[in-house]
Parts: sequence; C-alpha cells; structure tokens
Amino acid sequence: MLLGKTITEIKDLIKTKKMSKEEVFSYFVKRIEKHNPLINAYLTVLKKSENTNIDGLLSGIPLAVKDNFCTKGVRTTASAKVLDNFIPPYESTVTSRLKKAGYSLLGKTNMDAWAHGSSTETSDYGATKNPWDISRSPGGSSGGTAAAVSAYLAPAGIGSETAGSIRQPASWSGVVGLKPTYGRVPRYGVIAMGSSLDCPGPLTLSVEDAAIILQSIAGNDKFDATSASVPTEDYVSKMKEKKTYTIGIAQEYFEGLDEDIKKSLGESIKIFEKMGFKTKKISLLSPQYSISVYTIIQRAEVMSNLARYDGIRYGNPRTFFGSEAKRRGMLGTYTLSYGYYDAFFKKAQKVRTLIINDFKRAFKEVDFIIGTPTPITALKLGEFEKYPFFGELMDKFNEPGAMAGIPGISLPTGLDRNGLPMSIHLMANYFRESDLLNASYQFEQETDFMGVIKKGILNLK
Amino acid sequence: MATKKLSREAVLHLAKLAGLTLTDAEIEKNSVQLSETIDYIKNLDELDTEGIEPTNSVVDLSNVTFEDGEKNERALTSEEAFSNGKNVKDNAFVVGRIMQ
Repeated sequence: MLLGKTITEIKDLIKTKKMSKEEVFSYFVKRIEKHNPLINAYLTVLKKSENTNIDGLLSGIPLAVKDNFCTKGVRTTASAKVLDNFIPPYESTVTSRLKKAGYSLLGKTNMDAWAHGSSTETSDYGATKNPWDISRSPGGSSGGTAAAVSAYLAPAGIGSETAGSIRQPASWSGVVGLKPTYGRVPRYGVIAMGSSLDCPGPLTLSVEDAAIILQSIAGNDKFDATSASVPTEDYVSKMKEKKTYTIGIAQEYFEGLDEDIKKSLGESIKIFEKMGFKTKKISLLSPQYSISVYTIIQRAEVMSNLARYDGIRYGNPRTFFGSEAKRRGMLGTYTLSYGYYDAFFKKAQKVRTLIINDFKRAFKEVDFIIGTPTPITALKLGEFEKYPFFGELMDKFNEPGAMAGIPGISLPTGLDRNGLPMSIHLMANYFRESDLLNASYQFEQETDFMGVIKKGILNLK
Repeated sequence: MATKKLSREAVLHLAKLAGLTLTDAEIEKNSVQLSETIDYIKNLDELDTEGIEPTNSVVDLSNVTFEDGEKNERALTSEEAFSNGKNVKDNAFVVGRIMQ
C-alpha cells in the first residue's frame, strides 16, 4: 500500500486516517531491516518515531538524513572513523527545522568519509550499493541518502553538496536531487567540507516533495553568518503556476557525454519545446577550468576544516584519517603554502570570479541552462580508486554552478541500454529555486519518470 | 601527465604541516598523485585574470552579532561540552605535556 508513495501521498494517507504515523514509521523500519544489510544505505537506524504530535509541513513523515548533519543524541560520524563515537550535543539547523515541521528521523545515511568523494567508496564503513545494480556505486557523496530513497528505505532524504554530491547520486540512483543556492539553506551543524561551497538539500521521489522539504529548511539562520537574508518563497504553490521560460543550451555542457545520455538530453529539450518553452544557444566557459578551481579551493577549505580534529575534545586522534582525507589535506596544504599561494589558491579565486561573471552574463539571456549531472551512468564499484581526482572529473558539469553558488536540479529521464537511470540537469540564477521547481514540475507532469523510478523500487520487492 | 614527481622529503614536509601520518605506500602514492593533480590544475594559467578580483565567498558577508543581553541559544552546558571527551578531569580536557 505504501511502496513508492511520495511525501505528498503519505501525508494524504495520514490525513484521511488510512494509516497512522506509527504505522508509516514502522513500515520503513521493517523495510530497512530487510534490505539495508545488502544496500548499506544507513549507518544508524532509529527504532522509535518522534515528534508525532506536531502539525507541520512534514507531520509524521520519516526521512533519511546524511550522516554529516549533527543530530543531538544520535551518533554522527560523517562516515569517518575519526568520529566513530561522536554523539553531537547540539542539533543542526536543517534537522531542527525538520523537527519543527514534524518529521521523524529514520536514520543516518552512509556517505563518502567527510563527503570526500563521488561514490561512497571512501566511507570508513564500506560502500553503499546502487539498488538498481548492486555491483555499482549509487554515486556520492550523498550516496546513502540517494540509495535509501531509490530503494524506498525512506520516502525522501536530506543530502548535502559541495559540488555535485546531491545531483550526481540523485542521477545515478534515479531520484530527484535539488542543490539550492549557496546560503539558501543554513550550514549550521553540518560537518564542514568546503565552507564557501557546502549546501544542504533534498533527494526525493517527486519535484513537489523537493519543494516541500526546501520550504521546511530554507531561510536565514542567525547561527550561520553565510546564510542568506533574501526572503524565501512559497515553493509548493509557486511551483504549480503555469509559466514558460527560456532554456539556454551551451555546447560546452554537451561534450564527452555517453551516447544514451546525449540522446535522452536531446529528447528532453524537445519535450520542453513542446511545452512551449523557448530554447536559445549560448556559450559558457569550459567546465574543464572549474575542475581545477574546484580542486584547489575545495582542498584548501578541506584542510582548514580538518584541522579541528585533535581527538581531545571529541572523536579519535588524527591517525584515524583515511587515505582520501589525507590525499586532500596534502594538496590543500600544498596550494596554501608560502610560494604557491598566489600561483594556485589566489589564481583559482580569480577564475572563480570569471565563472560567476560568465553565469551572470548568461542569465541575462536565459532562465535556465540545461545539461546532465554526469557524463555517464552509474559506474562499477572500484573504478574510482584508480584515479587521483576521478570524482572531480565525474562532477565536471556540477562544479561550475557550485563554484558560482547557483542552484541546480537533477531530474530522472529514463533508463540507458544497461537499465541504469539517466537524468537531466537544470541550473538557474541565484535564488531562483521557485522557477527551477516550477519548470521541473511541469516537465515531470509532461513525462512519466516517476514510473521509471517505481520500477527500480520494485526490483527490491 | 606528470613531468616529475614530488620528492619523498617534500611529501613528508607537507604531511608534517598538515599533522598527518602517512604509511610508506601512502608516501609513494601521494608523491605521484599530487604531481599529477598539480599538473592538471595548471590549466588555469590559460586564462587571463589580470585585474580580476578574487572571490572569497559568493554571498555578501557581514558580521553577525548578538544584541546585548540576548540569550545565547548555542551555548552548551559544561556537561554537554565534555560529553565526547575521552580524558576529562575536573571540568578540563587532559592533554599531553608540551614542556618536559
């Protein structure tokens, strides 16, 4: 009865008293008990629901939360053995807002350790398996949340993105993934990776669910000086207004795509045109440069953020760091050192300005830029280890937007020749989440990618 | 591809600065992979950034301060603050001696 139901649909079941909140919660706990040993999406599972009396936007809805969000009294590891036994004494703003909206925490999901990676393979607790094909990666770093939603071990979940960590796993696992504008959703209580880049956001089975979660977690936070004071909007109702937009097509975002993905992207553009959207050819800076800017800035910020782990106030000593954290810390230290700072870090910061200006110019002509979140569909587990910054290469279409801090969404568009999910990617100007959701919702109504997702869920019975 | 790899000494120096301990295999791997990565990121030199201001943050930052007398909701009790410490004595974290 519940299998594959969205947040919107579950809310309806609870409202019409067809199911109680407790029944919904225990349904997911049982499903997790049955399937999690195979998928390894959750590191910590809660057995009891909370917040059952709150009448909010997410009243009685159980959600999966990535393990880098501090949850008071519930172990939070960021999938790193350094934090193996860390019990946060405080709550992140995102989860405390979810609590106010009446959600129930189902469990904490696996990720790349410290969010360093795009496959969950750097997790100190073993990789998560892609529910579509367990020999493959679900993507990452929010791979645990993506797999949990894809296997319906949660109706939706929370992830976080530094550059691609929501959109790429959403794409590889066949779910919707929204990366909001930097600062739209507060970072307070999120274990930091790249402080000028990190963005929390939802992974869901429908565009409406993404809007509901965004509405619950967005908005200025006095505990996060980098959170935006721009007012939030009523994303759910604005999403349903009939609007038409202009979509920008940049050749630079079509290079190196797998054949099936390229074909699916072409078909998606035709669907938008059929819906009355205009398309326009534009030109953007090559994503190749964003790979370098991202690598330099992210690793420098990683090193600064990992400096706090001394094993004295909490957590284990620095000898517990895994290889990937060390690798990133080493480069971050290099590019920030005397003699190299100007050549690398400062140069990257300047190119970051060029990327921002490039998008600002483009968004004077178009409302969205279309592409795909990844050049290929889900890879086999083990492929990532072979290359020093393979994740960065896989996320090359997400990095420019992440460096600029603009929002983007990953929307499923069907299956490739191997039966693996494909997606399209829309980027919008700063704080244009409601337009992004509006166009995505219209696209979802026009197509039937929910049907595709549900087929994947049924794989697991 | 890498023109030259970073020396073992350079890798160990970086590890010391970063407070990291590397195994022999990691030293070798880092010296090769760091050089490869550094070679790649040099592609930024193809772009002219003369007169371009560096970006530190994509949001307009300003200091956020508390009003006088406002309750600090973020404050932890000392019990909470020490709850994750492995070696705590008399409301203090016990650390190793610096001077002998």
